[in-house]
Amino acid sequence: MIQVIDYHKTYRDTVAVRGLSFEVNPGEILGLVGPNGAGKTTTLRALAGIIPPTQGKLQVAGHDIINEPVEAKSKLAYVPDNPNLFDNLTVWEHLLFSAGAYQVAHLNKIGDELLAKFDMTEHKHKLAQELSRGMRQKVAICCAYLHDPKVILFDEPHTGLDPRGIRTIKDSIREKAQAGAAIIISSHMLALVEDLCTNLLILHHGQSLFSGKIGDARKAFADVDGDATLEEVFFRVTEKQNGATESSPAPANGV
Amino acid sequence: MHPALITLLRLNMYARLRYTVRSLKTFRGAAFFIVAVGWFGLMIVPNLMMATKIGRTDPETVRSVFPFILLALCLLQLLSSAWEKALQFKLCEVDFLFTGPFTRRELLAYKIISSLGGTVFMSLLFSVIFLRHSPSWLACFCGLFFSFMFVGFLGMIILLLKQMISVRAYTFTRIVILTIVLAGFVLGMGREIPNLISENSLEVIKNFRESRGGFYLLLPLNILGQVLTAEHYVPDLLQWGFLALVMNLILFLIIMALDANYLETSLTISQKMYTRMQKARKGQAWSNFGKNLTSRWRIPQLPRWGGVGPIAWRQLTHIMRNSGGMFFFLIILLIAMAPPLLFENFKDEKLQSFFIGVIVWISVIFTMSFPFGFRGDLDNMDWFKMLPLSSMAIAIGQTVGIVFFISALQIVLIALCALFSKGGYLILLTAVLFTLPFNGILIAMDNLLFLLFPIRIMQSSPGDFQNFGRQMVYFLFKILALVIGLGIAAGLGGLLYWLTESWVLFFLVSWSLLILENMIIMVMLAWAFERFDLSVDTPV
Repeated sequence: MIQVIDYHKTYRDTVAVRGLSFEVNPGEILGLVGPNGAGKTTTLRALAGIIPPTQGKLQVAGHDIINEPVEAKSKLAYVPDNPNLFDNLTVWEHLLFSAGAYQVAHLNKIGDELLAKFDMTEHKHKLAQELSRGMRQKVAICCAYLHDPKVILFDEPHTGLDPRGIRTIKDSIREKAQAGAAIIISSHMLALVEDLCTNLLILHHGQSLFSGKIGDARKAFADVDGDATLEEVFFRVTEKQNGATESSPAPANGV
Repeated sequence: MHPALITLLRLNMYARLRYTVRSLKTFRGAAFFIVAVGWFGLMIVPNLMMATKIGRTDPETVRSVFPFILLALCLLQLLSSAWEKALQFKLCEVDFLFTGPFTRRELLAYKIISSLGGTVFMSLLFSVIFLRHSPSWLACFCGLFFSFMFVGFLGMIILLLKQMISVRAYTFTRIVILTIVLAGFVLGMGREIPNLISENSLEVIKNFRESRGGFYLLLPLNILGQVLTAEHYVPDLLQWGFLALVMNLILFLIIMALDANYLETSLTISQKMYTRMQKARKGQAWSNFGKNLTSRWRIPQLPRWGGVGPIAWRQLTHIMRNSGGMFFFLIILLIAMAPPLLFENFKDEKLQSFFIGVIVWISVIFTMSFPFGFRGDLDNMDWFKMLPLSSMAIAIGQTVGIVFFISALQIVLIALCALFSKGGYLILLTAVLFTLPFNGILIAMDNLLFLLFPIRIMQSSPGDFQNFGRQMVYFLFKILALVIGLGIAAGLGGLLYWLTESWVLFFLVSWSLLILENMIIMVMLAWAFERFDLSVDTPV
């Protein structure tokens, strides 16, 4: 469903991502983790078609994001880390526009259900500028879910949400995956990634340090007490890489 | 265009209308609206009267000058980063539209149509202001509308071409080929230069117009000039208007045909504009105009002074590290001041007074445009609120730094005047003495108004009467407070001079009164800070 092959992204002299390759199949939830500046948002933005890759191929639901952007984007939803809404439009008008963009029939039914699910019904006719940070996040998620996308990209989806909101979004992500969507979640909350994701991709300085099933990562870094936690995996992988970077150039391929 | 984008345009238009109507329902919103309409009326009515009573400018003169004004406008935009606005999308548009199922062409068409409202508003406004330079209102409106469109389209084409070149000319060979092509173009234009030289500037313009390069460069701009000065609706306006429309349509088609992958460039521009806005809100607007000083530049910690010291130290550090652009402006100001300073008649005290007036006016405009003190610290108000310091200490600390900084800059400028003048030192000395209390009132009043009626700096769009009215009301209040403050000081000082005929007494009393007023406003500022309620007064 999502296929990234030899993706490179360079900003003038800065290499943000180098030679990244991975796949996310239907029903899989990939946790994209890495320190700040690792290239997580750059990767998500490229997959969403906002920024073009310097080199490589990115496919979404079987469509190349560069050559067939409209086809790819019609099956995709992207929820950025700090969603910017149209300040003068109401919550419902955001859904109205999204429904038009993705040709969603029965907006009233689907829209109302989504708003109810995210406790936003009473804020339906409020302007975006009157909403709190968490509510804005919920509106962005409602807009993203409206057209039942096959691919969903989340960048720090839990920021600003209350505990109930976090639980709702976690449940909804699981539901979407069970329904066959391929999902990528970029997050610094390792416990949440561990709880929710089936697969893991650790990025560091734009390179993949680990790519595979979460269970495999735990086993690979297991100690005498049993399987390692994701937090232990993360620190061992990145600190090992930091040590390697200090003593010698980084390897071309990950672990 | 995609139906959803048409829906969005419709929703945005409705939202704008809703915002205006909602604002009009409040007393403050209605007042701002009336002030803005009144202000526009004051701008428009004299121009209308001049157009009807004094008569119109000779169309031939406008035809010869207007293309050059447009050319200068294009070049000015080309040299600055103003072109970038042609491809600037709002961040919400980036989030919703760039990831949506829309083609790049559809998004460009959306961008062009969404900016059309602003173009019509600007054309309407300027068509009345410039009416006396055009034979009829319709010709003036059409001429300006097509000109604004032309400049906007040209900006878009240049950005798209730049984007395409930067994508394709990334190899050394391609850069070399591109450089050779550009060098050939510049040399070709350069061959014309010897034919243009003349002692008479009008002759240079005429020579340029008659040169081959000038002819082709001015050809589209001449058409726009002809629309503006069309003396008859038929055939002049119809004929030239049609040509201008076709010209703009061609530019539009070129934009559509280019189909460059501009999304990343657009995202960068949008983020840059957003960062500028954020900086302006935090009192770092100066840093948008020049290189800033880094954290290596430090000023020593000030004594505690009952809590004023640490606050003032933070403000001074903030000002110093964001003053790169301010020094850039100062250099421009010095360059602008240089020729009159060198004139022989600078000995004239009137000219010195005029210069001092200009320096004072600049500080009024600067403090209005670039927020310092509480205005630049809206996002840090909770931090100030929890500090174990008295509100008076915070109020003084927040304003004293910028007062001294602006005063120091003004004193430098006044000293420069003194260096070149051969007399009238008393006026200059007076200016130096009064700089500090004057700036104190100005900055404190600015912050007092902000704490009483807090607003965030936001990007204003053409036709946003409330926002414009708000700025005008603030400005008028500030000027009124200044006039009252200075008037009381000058009035009482003048009374004493009338009684004693002593200038020394006049200055002493006026200066002391200004200092007293500073103290009173500072008490008011501390009170306003104390009553500032973060939960109510922090605007979104």
